[in-house]
Amino acid sequence: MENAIITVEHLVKQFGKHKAVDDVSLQIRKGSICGLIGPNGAGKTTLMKMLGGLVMPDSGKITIFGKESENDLAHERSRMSFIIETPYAKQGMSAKENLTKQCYQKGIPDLSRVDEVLSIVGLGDTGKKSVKNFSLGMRQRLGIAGALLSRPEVMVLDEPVNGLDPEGIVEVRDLITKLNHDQDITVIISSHILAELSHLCTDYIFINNGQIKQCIEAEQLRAMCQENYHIHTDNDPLAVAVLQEKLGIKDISVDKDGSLRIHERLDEKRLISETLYQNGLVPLILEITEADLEQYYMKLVGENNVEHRKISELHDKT
Amino acid sequence: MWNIVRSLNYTIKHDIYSYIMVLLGLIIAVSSIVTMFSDSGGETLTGSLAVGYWGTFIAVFCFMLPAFVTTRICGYDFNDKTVNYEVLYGQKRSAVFFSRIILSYIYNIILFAVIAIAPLAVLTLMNGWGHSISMSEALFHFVLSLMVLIRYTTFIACLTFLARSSWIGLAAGYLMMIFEMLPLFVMELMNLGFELTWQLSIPNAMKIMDFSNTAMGFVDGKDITIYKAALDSSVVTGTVLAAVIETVLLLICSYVLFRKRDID
Repeated sequence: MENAIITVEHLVKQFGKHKAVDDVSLQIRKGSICGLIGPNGAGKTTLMKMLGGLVMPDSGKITIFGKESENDLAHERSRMSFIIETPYAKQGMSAKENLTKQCYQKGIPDLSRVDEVLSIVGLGDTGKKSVKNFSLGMRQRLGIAGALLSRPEVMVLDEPVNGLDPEGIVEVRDLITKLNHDQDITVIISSHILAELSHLCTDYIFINNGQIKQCIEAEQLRAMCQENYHIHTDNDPLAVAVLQEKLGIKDISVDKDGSLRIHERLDEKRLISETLYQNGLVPLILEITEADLEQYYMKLVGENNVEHRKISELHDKT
Repeated sequence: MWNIVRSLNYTIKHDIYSYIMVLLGLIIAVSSIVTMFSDSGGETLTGSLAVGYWGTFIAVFCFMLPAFVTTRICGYDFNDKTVNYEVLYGQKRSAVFFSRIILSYIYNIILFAVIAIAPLAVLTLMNGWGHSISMSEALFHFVLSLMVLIRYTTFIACLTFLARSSWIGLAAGYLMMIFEMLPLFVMELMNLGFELTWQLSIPNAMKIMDFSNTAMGFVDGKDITIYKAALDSSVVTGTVLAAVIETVLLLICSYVLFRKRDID
């Protein structure tokens, strides 16, 4: 990838017997909003901590803005901003005092930047109110304000909308989009709220059990989230068996509610519905739909084992 | 590194704990002057006479408050992820480590000056320095004490960095103080004939600031107490070498460990 600003090659990190990051390689494009998606314990935060220098990899290489050595990486991180796990703030200080302190920490001489970023995130009127009296949404916004202080080229955000109400989620999402469009800031964002990422990201990285499952651009993902035939009958387990044995259809996934999705032979809808009917099954739902990000994610990362088990369980029941 | 020092100073100025420590230091200094006046009997309380009264107190008390200060500077910022974010901001780990060590030294030297030297300066202004001990010799004792303070500060700081907790650092520091003072009592009780001088920090400081060996002199028509406070060359050499070697070794080992460990 020509315009990659961050490259990770064969990164490994083990904590005791647990491999948190297992031979991870990826690249982040300049100007992208990259969603890092995976279940709890997938390795997202560990990966972000390794990018940030908090956690040392056991092996592998990280390149940021073309630099590899630990000394150079420390310098290049000053061009980035991170919010990992919780946003940083001294509880006993006000928003302005916190950001002034961060200006000193980052070596930012112009303290007027503090008022500028506070107004960007909508915290300009908090006055002397201590951060300990802030709501969760306000603390998240303060964290983003701190991340903006140094005019970063890259922002790494670990679940920045966690705990926010829907209004707060929309505010943060719009802010990230605006920063990416107006200031060309590259964003790496992890989240469990997949629906929100689908409105935001230009690239996706799916990770599970410490391994990268897929790196894909949004456009490609939209093509992959193809049409499918959504079926729900009065006996879905039997329907699976019938479709597999009578029609040889293999690409079937099972939703949480037990209904089926067929991803092949979509031009044979009539044959499929007739076959089901001829085998005594009553179709309750028969529709062509497109998979959304959550379904794609569940299929790729989260629920593969559960799906296979469910199909075998369905076979046992029939 | 100096960015971190500036930001730490900014936090210290906005931390009520800092003002409590300053107030405590001033209370100790003022109450010590009052105590010394009441203990001096008929003798004029000059600056040099107060050195003897104040000596052992300095040796112990000047280590208790610096433990608070050091653990606050070196350990507290692990609780709220300040250290984490300094690394994320692109600060090198050496800057994160040594900025806090240097600031601990600076603040503890200031605290030492407030508690140990300020009362003597006030008394000197009021009653003059006197003849109980020469100023140069008193200064020599204080400089050696400072070296021991730096040694002790380094120990507490490194322990706190390794534990990543101001409370563990403080608890360990106070336990260490008790541990170091215990041999003194045991040796005195059992009359072992062996004296701890430079081997441990607290006994080292107590030895340096021990002015119990006195004689009476007659100067300007008055009886005065004269301190026989000359230190054995082995004590001086041991103090300096122990301070330098222990400080350097502790700093190197702690930094190497801090540099390699994950910060979670």
